[in-house]
Amino acid sequence: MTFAAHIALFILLGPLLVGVVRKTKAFLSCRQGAPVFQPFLDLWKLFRRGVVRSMTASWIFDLSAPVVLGASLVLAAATPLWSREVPLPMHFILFLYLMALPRFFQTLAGLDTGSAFGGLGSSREVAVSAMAEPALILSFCGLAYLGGADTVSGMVTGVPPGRVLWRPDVILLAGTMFLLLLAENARIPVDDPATHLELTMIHEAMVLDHAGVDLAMIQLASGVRLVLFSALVSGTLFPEALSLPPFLAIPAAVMKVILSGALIGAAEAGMARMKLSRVASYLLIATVLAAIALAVRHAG
Amino acid sequence: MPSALPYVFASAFLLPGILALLIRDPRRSRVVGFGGSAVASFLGLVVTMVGATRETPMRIPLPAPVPWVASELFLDGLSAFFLVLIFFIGFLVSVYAVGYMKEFDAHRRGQAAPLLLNLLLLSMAFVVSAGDMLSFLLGWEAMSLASYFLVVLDHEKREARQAGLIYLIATHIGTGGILLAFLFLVQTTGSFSFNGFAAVPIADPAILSATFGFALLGFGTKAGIFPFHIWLPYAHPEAPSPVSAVMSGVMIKMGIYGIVRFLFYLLPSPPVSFGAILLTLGLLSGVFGVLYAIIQHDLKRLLAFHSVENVGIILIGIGAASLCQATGRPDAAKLLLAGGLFHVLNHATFKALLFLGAGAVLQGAHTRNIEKLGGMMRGMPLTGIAFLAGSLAISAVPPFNGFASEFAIYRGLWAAAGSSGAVGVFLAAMAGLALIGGLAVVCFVKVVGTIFLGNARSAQASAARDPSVSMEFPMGTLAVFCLGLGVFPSFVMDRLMEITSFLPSAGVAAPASGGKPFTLAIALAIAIGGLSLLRTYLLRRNGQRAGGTWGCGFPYSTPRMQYTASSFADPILHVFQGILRPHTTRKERLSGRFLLEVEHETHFHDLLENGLYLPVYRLFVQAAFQARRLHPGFIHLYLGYILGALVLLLVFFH
Repeated sequence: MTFAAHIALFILLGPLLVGVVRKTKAFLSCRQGAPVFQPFLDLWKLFRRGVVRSMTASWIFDLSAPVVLGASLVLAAATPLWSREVPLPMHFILFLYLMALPRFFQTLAGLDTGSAFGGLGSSREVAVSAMAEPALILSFCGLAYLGGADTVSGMVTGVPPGRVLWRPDVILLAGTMFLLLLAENARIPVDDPATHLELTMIHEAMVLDHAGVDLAMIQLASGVRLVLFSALVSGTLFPEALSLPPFLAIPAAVMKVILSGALIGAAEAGMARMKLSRVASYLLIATVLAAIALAVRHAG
Repeated sequence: MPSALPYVFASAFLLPGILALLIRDPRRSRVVGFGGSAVASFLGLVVTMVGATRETPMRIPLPAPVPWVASELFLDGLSAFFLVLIFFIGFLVSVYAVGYMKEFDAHRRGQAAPLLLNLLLLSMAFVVSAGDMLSFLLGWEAMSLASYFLVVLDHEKREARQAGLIYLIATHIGTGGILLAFLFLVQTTGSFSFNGFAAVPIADPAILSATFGFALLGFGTKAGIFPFHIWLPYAHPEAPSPVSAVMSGVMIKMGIYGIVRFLFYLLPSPPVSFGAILLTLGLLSGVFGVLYAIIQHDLKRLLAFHSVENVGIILIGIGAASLCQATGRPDAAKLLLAGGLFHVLNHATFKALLFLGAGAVLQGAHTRNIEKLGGMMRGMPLTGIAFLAGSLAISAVPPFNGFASEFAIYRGLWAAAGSSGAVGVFLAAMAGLALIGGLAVVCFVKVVGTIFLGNARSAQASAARDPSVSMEFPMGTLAVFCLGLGVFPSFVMDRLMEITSFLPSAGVAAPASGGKPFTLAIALAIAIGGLSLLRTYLLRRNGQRAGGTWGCGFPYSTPRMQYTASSFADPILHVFQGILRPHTTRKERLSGRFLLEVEHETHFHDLLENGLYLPVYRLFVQAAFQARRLHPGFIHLYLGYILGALVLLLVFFH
């Protein structure tokens, strides 16, 4: 039961988070923007639509959307969002490496239609995530030290409550995780999900040939992944909320997601997209920050 | 009874090979030669599996090659592990070769291939079970020569001859290093047998370092560790694909066997620096190997560079294990060594699979250049699935086996970083391993995407079909093992923890919570399967139609408009251009003001090849030309040399 609730919460909060981000961005740039619940309507429409499938594509293209969403949900099952218990406890390294599974199929599907855009998106996607890998593992190591456990749920829920916000290593780690959140989820300054030109995109260029159900699954999966990252950051910063009884914990989780959506939206509204060649430096900065956090932890 | 075993195996491998030479019909010769080797390997696998349950090491005396030295086979857990590896891959590759080697039917020399392959398998089995220096070196040399002849099997091609020459030089420099390392041990201990070596530790640190250094040079060359990897990208592509599979999957692991044997058995209590050196070399091999692989267009050359990468990962495990052993962290050491050895087996599985898949692609499309392939999933669906499984495994994507062993290494590094001491070293190793893993994903998305997906870039690629059953069966089996070893890693890990039991441990074996790969595999299967069913249902309800790929509003799209392997690798190339050093040449042909043609070429030079090896090689060649003046062909002068030598001997050694 809690298992179904856990997964359902991720699936529901994903589009909500995306909606909040868009609304915040619109508000900060003095536009009205679409309603917050627009992503839900989009998904509903996509799930009811037929599919035009490229004649070039092979079975990998057909398998990609279920793999992307399925693997993201398995990852979600290991992430604490509203309770200390998770349905599927997972070692943090297994968690990191499992993130490669949806990426592998997603990028292959991008190449499968034989479109130049798909290849462009795939190529950039794997390059960005490969360079993000050291920063990810170092910041996960930092979180694991902080929580004193090596499972993802243990490391977030094991963070000692109270005054944790004022520790320099916590702040550095949360900052690194936020930088990685932007890079791994196709947000500004690394990627712009709302641009109108495919040549400048990463994620959207890759999924250009997906339609209907496939596109809905992929968009749902990226929402789930965004919630997952924001749950890791907010869980570390406010571990107290995870110990609340369920009737309080779920609203608290929703609040955290809305807050992180506002934060991501604000960050995106204040920045421009970087040149692709600058992304490497951006990720190097994240790696160095994580390394400093680890050094601070061992020095102090 | 066991004393007859070496003779039984020698004849089981060599007789079919000799028969294959004698039979005139090339097809029958292939079946007898490779079939015989498959039977012998299968037999060996069964015997080793049964024998591996023995508690005490097995010792089989051999007739001495030199009168006053005893020679013997010595089989312990480590030997048995490598024997399983040799026979397992040997069996599958032999089955594959029955179908594949028909490429060589037109040439009489193709009939030498079975004998050479069998000799290679037999000599490797001999190397890992040798109990003394002389039999080890004998096996080592037989292995090197058999593989040399297999590399130059296609000796009408200039590239094959060149690759053979580079390999021959490299392997003999290596043998020289191993010989010197052994001689230091003989000098210290006065014994020729491995047990004798292990009994007396080397006291003098200078001699200890020299022994390790020469052993590292020798075994590192065979294993393809970073500064000594130079022969590997030449020799692997030129050998026939089943031979590449054996060389990359198994033969380079003989170098790993040697390093483990020296570091943990023959040189008891090595200093910290040895482990640190190996760990550093492992990280360098991993990063350089995968970076050089990303920029390759030649499929087999690319796979060869991935061997450099994976040997690096293995060395990270072994080096960190030695480091932990030296600094009093035996728990982590045990996990790391077991993880490194597990990666030896896993790399053999997926790399053999990938080379066999490359062979099938090569046979179908007659090119190794991946820029000319594409869309082959349609014509070769079975090969495509097997190759995809191998690619997921080599990219360390769970739940495949490449991840299983890297996970063990990670857990070891994490345990080592958790106890006091040089935390930074182990955390840096983890970050390095993560970068290697991420780059491997880049490379294999590129490979699978450009070969099997999209549109065919040449007529040959679209005409290629799945190969015969004798080639499909080994690929399928290896693909199943790639998944099976990843889902049930404890079958192998438990055995390896026993083999490494000479490292004391206190409760490290318990798998970390949430690391259960079987649970994960089930969860993934349910999630992905359920969503696929949902997708099928929705597609049936909502309707699906086929259309062209969206071309940005343009009506045409040709295979030339697809992303190529080079363009795919470009972002990584851009970031790492300081290391990869691309040389770009651009030629323009103008007619008046109009640009008619642009030629744009990018080449890469291996840093070490141009910076270190070629200058040294040229120096040697010059010295050899100078030395030639010493023998101009006058018999008087030669007699004078003899006289001079005698006088010098009498003066110095009287």
